[in-house]
Amino acid sequence: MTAEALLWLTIGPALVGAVAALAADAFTTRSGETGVLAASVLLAAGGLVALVGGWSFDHAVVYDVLHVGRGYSPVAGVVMLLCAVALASARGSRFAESGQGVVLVALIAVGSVLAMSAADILFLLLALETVAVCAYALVALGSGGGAREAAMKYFVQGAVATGVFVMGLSILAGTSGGRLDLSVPLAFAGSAGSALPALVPVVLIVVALAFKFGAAPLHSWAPDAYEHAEPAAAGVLAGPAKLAAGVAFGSFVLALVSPETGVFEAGSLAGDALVVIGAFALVSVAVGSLVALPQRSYRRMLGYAGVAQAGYALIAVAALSVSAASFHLAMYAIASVCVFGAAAAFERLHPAWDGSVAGLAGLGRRRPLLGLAVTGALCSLAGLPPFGGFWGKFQAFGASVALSVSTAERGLVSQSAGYAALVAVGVAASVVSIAYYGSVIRSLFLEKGPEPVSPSSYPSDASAENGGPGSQNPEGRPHPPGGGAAEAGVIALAAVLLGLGLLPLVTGLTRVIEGFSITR
Amino acid sequence: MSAMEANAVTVAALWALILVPLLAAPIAWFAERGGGGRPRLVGLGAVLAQVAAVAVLLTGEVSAELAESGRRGAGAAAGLLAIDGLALPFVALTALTGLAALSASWSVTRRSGAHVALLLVVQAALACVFLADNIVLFYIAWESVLVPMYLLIGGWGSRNARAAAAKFLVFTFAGGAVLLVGVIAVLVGAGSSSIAVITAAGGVPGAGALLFWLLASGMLVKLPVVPVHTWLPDAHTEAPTAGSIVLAGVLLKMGGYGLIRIVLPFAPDALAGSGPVLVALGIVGVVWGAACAFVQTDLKRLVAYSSVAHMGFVAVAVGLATRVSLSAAVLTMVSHGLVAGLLFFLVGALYERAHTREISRFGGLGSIARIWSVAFVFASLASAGLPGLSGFPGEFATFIETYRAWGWWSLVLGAGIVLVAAYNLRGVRAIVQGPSGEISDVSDLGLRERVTAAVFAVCIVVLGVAPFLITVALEPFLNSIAYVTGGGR
Repeated sequence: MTAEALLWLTIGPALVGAVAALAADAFTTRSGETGVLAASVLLAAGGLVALVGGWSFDHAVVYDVLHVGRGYSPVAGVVMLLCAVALASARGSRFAESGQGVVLVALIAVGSVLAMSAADILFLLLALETVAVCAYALVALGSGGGAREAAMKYFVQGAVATGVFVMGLSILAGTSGGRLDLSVPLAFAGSAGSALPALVPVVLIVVALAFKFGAAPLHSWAPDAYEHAEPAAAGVLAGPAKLAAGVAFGSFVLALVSPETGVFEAGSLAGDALVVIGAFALVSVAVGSLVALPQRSYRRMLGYAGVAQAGYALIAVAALSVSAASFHLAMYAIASVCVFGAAAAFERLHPAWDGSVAGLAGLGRRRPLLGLAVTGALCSLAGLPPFGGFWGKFQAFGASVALSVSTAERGLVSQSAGYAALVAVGVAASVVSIAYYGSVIRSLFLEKGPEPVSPSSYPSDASAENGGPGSQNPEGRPHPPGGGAAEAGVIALAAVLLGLGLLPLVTGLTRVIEGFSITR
Repeated sequence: MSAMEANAVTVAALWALILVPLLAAPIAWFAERGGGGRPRLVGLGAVLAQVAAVAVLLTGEVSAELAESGRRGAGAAAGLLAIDGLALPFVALTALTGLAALSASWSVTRRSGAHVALLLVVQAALACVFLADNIVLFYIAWESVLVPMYLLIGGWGSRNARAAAAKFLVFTFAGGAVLLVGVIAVLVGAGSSSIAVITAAGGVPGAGALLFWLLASGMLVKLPVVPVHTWLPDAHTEAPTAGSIVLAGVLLKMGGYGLIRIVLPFAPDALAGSGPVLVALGIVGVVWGAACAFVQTDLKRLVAYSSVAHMGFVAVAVGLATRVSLSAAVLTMVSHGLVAGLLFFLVGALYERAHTREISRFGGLGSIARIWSVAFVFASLASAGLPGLSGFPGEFATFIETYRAWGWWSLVLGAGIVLVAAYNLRGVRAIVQGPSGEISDVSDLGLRERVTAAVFAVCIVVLGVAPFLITVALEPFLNSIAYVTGGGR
């Protein structure tokens, strides 16, 4: 199998799925159920190919514009698989009844994979726009006026970001004579003899990427979008799409590092850009955590928490460890799809749920397995071992500590202090994060639900656990058909997070992360 | 039995200590469907397996081998688990407290499956903390205790349990997050994750006060020392009895164990500057904890504050970092594990019967519930440090060592010792002696409770009479960190 084949086997099934779902939606009514199933199988197939191929294929660039193989394909695989899981767990929900959602998710999967693999800035822009246009529509598919408003806000801000990106791109295009691969800014800085002229387009593009990535202070679209979109759609936007945007961000930054001169020498383009990245990281971590803390709405809280998570990834990017960032984001994305999927499951179990964290009171006692799975995912998000998220944070902080130590040894006091500050703020934000993630765990298990749960009813609802679709819930009403899919997805993803947390103990961490190693 | 067979037995015992309770946890959870009484039987089986594994480690040739060669590993290639004279007392304490916790929660009927399952997960994680020979595994086990314990306190505790549980979670997680940076700094600085390798190399190269305090802050929150102790009285008081027993019996010891196992050997050069700070924090802890205990009106809160005082002794002993004081620290911790475990067990039993913990509502229990009163007086005297019982050797040695290093400043510590005796005697006088109080119809301890209390009492006496059981086993470890006890490299 060649590298090109690997690429096409990754995105091909998703493209087929998208086109087929589009056709089905145009010519049949109620295409949703079958379409959802077919599209998720196709996406999962592409994802599995990428995941397996990523560990066995060395890194290569195909068609001059796309990275495949080690480092990129495993991330692509995670993106595809997560989109598949998000789609599959939407089975039986209103979202899946129309075929449009399926098309949009499939196209977002393809666009995300292309964006994170892009070796060319123009191609990066096009892929990101594909994702963005689908994302606006996906948010607008949500129920209620809030969804339309959020989508409009997202669209207007996104248009500005695109404009900023294009401005940066046009400056680069004007100086490079048409070449637009990722190394163009570096070449520009080299030919200008100073980093300053190249810094202008670089910062413009970094700002646009920060918007796509949901980094503060350009994050205000994210909580609105996540709150008002359908849960499965929010999971896709907060999980795989963000993972891809982060990896694309990281690759762009990594390409600014000159192979000849050191990063921290005077006049180094990367050195100056890293200050901007570090600032985005600091602000994202601080703002995301502090604003997530007082949120009452479950999904809005997760939205702000996602801003902080983007900040942790940027801490790793600022420490030039894109591998750590991509691993951290992969763990975050898995947990995100899990917790947003859980929102769908909560809505089904508790139709009167107002979307607040407090409204989840006692749900964990009624559905212990679902509650435990959500608890696991939240622990992973907070970076608690033994879940996968721990290793992500561990590496992100590790990269920063290592650079802080090595810069201190080389006498670069301000850089060393900067990295130390990133770690310090990151640690403080982690502590805050346990408060807002913990509040969900508290609601699920420690608060009494609206109807008193008597000890005698406990075993009986536990025995309904394995009943799956169509079984009786404690109130005696049958579940909507197919509604158990969200719950199954949540439990499966939480199990994956636990497995990924324990796996490094058996195999060693290097074996697990080598597939994610994105280096220059 | 050949050396190789002995090693295989050790390896099996080490894995059993962690995996048996871990695997039994889901079984206990599901066992509830067969009846509310089933989970506790599963839990009893798992904890008895832990006790058996400890017995295997303590007896016969494995133990002889251990005394000879010091540290013994399991999964030697991976360097994951190991046992030595430092870890063994703590593992034994974990298993024993597990039994007491299970005994105390025997009558829990509300969601008993989840209760026992969480208890077993905590048991497994605690055993893993003490057995880990890899600093990353140590950290993973360290943090894995948090969420199960949080749910245990919040889910089965008394009135304000949810707030207390949240406080516990945030405080200890904050300490843990700083500890994580310390662990990363160790990995970056030493280039190894093996605790044995880093210790053999004489610590992390170039480790200074920064690394010392990064690592220590996580441990000091758990221990706890005074400015960061406020989670403890709330958590211990509001937790269900089983939770209090595990918290006081073993969880606090993670902090002291971590200080001795990780902090001192990894950053020995910082000891000269940072040791006195630890001693000062410890002395403040003894006095403050004892003074607070003295004025409590809630019996459980009194016992909780006494933990602060006793752990103050540990901080002092660790800060002095001599051979004698480190032995004393281990002795104090094991003793406090037994004594506080027993006290919480007794207070829990009383609360179950009287549904109140207000000291002022009790009185003259000596003539109402004789066995309970005998056990309570015994535990209080052990807590006060009566010679012949387990509390004495460790605290006495700490006092002597403090005098040798700090001269007359040790009198402040002495004042703390007097206060410790005072609040214990006050508790005994108010509850056991005098005219009978408002609550006078308390039934005495049942058979299960008597057996549990007796096991603890025997251990307390044995340790008081023969503290060398622990100190002799500790010798090889103290030799291996002679660069610490010798006052730095």
